Amino acid sequence: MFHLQNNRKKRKLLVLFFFLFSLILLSLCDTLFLANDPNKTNAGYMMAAPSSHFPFGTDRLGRCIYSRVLAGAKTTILSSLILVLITMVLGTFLGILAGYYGGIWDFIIMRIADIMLAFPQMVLAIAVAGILGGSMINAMIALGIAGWTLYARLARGKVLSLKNEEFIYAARLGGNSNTRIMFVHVLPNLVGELIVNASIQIGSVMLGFAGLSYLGLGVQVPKAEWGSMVSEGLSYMQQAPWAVLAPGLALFLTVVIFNLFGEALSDYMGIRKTEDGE
Amino acid sequence: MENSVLSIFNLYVSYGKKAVVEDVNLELKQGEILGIAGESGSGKSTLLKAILPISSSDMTINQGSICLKNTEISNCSTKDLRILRGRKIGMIFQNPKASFNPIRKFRNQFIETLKSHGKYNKDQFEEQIFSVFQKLSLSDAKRILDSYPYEMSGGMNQRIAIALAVMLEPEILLADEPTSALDSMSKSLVMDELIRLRDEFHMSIILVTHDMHVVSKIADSIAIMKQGKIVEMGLVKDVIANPKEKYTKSLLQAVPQINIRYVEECENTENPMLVLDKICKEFHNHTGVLQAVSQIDLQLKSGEILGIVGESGSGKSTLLKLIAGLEKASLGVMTCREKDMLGKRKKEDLRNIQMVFQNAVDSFNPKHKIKQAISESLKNLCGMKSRQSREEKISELMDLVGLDQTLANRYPRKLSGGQCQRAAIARAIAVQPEILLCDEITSALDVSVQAEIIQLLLRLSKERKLAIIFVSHDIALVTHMCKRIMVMKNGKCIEEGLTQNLIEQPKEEYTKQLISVFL
Repeated sequence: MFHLQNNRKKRKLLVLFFFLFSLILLSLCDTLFLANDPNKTNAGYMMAAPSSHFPFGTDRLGRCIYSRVLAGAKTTILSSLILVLITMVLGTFLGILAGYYGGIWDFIIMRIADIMLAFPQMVLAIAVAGILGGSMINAMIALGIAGWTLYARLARGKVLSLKNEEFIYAARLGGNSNTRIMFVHVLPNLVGELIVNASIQIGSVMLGFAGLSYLGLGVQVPKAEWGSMVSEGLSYMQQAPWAVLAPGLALFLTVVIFNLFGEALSDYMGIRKTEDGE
Repeated sequence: MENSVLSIFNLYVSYGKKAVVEDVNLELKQGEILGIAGESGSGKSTLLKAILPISSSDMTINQGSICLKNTEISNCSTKDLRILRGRKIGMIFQNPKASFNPIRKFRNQFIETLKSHGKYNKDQFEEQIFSVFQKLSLSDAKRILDSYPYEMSGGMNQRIAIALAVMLEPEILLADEPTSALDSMSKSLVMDELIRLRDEFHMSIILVTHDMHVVSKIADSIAIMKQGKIVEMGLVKDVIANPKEKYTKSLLQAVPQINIRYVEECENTENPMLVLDKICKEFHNHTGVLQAVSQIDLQLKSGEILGIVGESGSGKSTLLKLIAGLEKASLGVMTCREKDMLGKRKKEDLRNIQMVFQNAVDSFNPKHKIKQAISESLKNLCGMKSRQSREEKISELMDLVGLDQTLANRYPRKLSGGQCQRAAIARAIAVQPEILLCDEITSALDVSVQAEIIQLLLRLSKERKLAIIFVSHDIALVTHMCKRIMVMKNGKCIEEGLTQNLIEQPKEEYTKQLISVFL
């Protein structure tokens, strides 16, 4: 029964991974699937309904929404992945440092994290993006400035409990340097949990990007991004609902897939932990 | 079959396809303590689980019957099981602290349990409890009820767990290794408690344990289990005095008894190698300063084996960590071969003093193979750069500690406790230390494995002139191998001396108590 359950979880994980992988592949090879140039305006087809030529219709400037959604996938998915990766690496590093050395390191790093967490994350991001001006890099900085705290706190907590494990004492007696203990003995034992958290986090980072772009603080026109497309289409939603629906649905589906994947991953890892402890 | 409370007939239990219990027949009489003994993995806990399924597991009873007073209970519905649990069959567990919710007072937990079994009566509640506590000689019942589980020692928690199980007046009580997590003093108290249950309440008890000492002291009859089968059964006095099976004999031999090892070698006149002078260690916490180790003097010559005995919390582990350099001393002087050891340790200092920990499996990084762990020490401390020379050294070490060489390629969780502890010893002696610190290294192991580990340490000490500090709460074990013994209590050394003198003429009351448990 145990194995059956485990198999079911594995299957679920594999199916979701397949979806996720196709999404990433799609966003990388978007040019192969484009029907039209995503940035080309066409005065003759303003707010045209979906047709064979424009599968999802066109927007106010006559741009093909299908092509723009595809092009937007690249911006949204890739920048979310990159941002999560950077914040995870940075946050984990700082968290391990704080947890392992304790004392003044711990105090400084965790107080900075506390300050970052004291602001609502979106408000902070809006403020930062507002000051730095709208661009994708600035949006990433804005979201990353509070994003690392999650990993730092998680890593620190894990390190605090791992630090008193006998195998860490044994490693110290084995003549390992602090750096080696941190990265060879501590890190591999918490990386699984961090990856699970990161995969759940990707969805909310995507929403964050879309939110900033929706407010005009993310990508700059005419570059396609789902959030900014929704924001733009909102003003003429009555006339051309597809201009809002298509990017909105794409965002919804992507976030759901990433979240389900994160969930499945954590389920799967949980089972594996009890089974053989590796 | 008069007076029979529980009878098990021809029972087969399996997990999935793996048969764990095979063809077990048992008979438990009213007011009898039946001891089931065997090593871990012999199926004794599974047998208890078959009698009283706790949670849904993939355990299946393939064949046979379990009768509680002539009622078949092996195929009960979930609803019937709820009545059975607690009210008809009580259970106490190995880890006493885990059987209570640590952040709720005992009073609430008692009330909750009684209520859920419909036995709570507000007016008589305290009276009822007091009478049970009195019969179990738990004094100060009011104070106990108003304290939290974490405030009590493990032994106390176990006795309270027993009291709670008794409150429901079950017909039989199942005890799963009730004493193995306790130190020897609490152990004897819990043993007394179980005897009182039988005498005062006429309760029938099934006691599962790997500790033959406990069984021989309190049980009436005994069943020895090996690989899922009962190999020998009978009255305790018959089986102990006259064991028929080889396996039973080996279990009995492994029981720790006070047994002084006479050291005939001529007196070692060298200067002591390791000297501790008035070493103190304080911990600061929110309630103030805790003196974990205070004013300990200690001297160790090369090749000598020193035993340190004390209850849990007596500061013996902290002392070892101080010597190993894993904690910093607050005060005092520590030298090894006239070199100060309190500052930051260099590689040769680390090489000199190595340590083996209580939980062998936890002392290896779960992500690394055994080979990697040993190889790491060799590389760091002995400067063995070439992979091949390290591999050779590792196979040599594995032979030395009596492990198959292929086991080095496994992850620590794929080894048994005993194998893992051998590997840990291999890792510690890999760098050829002069002093080996052993922190309760046998207390998580089966008795027969315990004896093997002790033999290994004695052999190593002799062959390599290795000085060993052996810390344990088990004084009998320490007498087997140590020439000198130090008794610790509350961070202080209260008595120290040659094993023989200390055992035969203990000066302190506390030492006498420790010894009396084994006599």
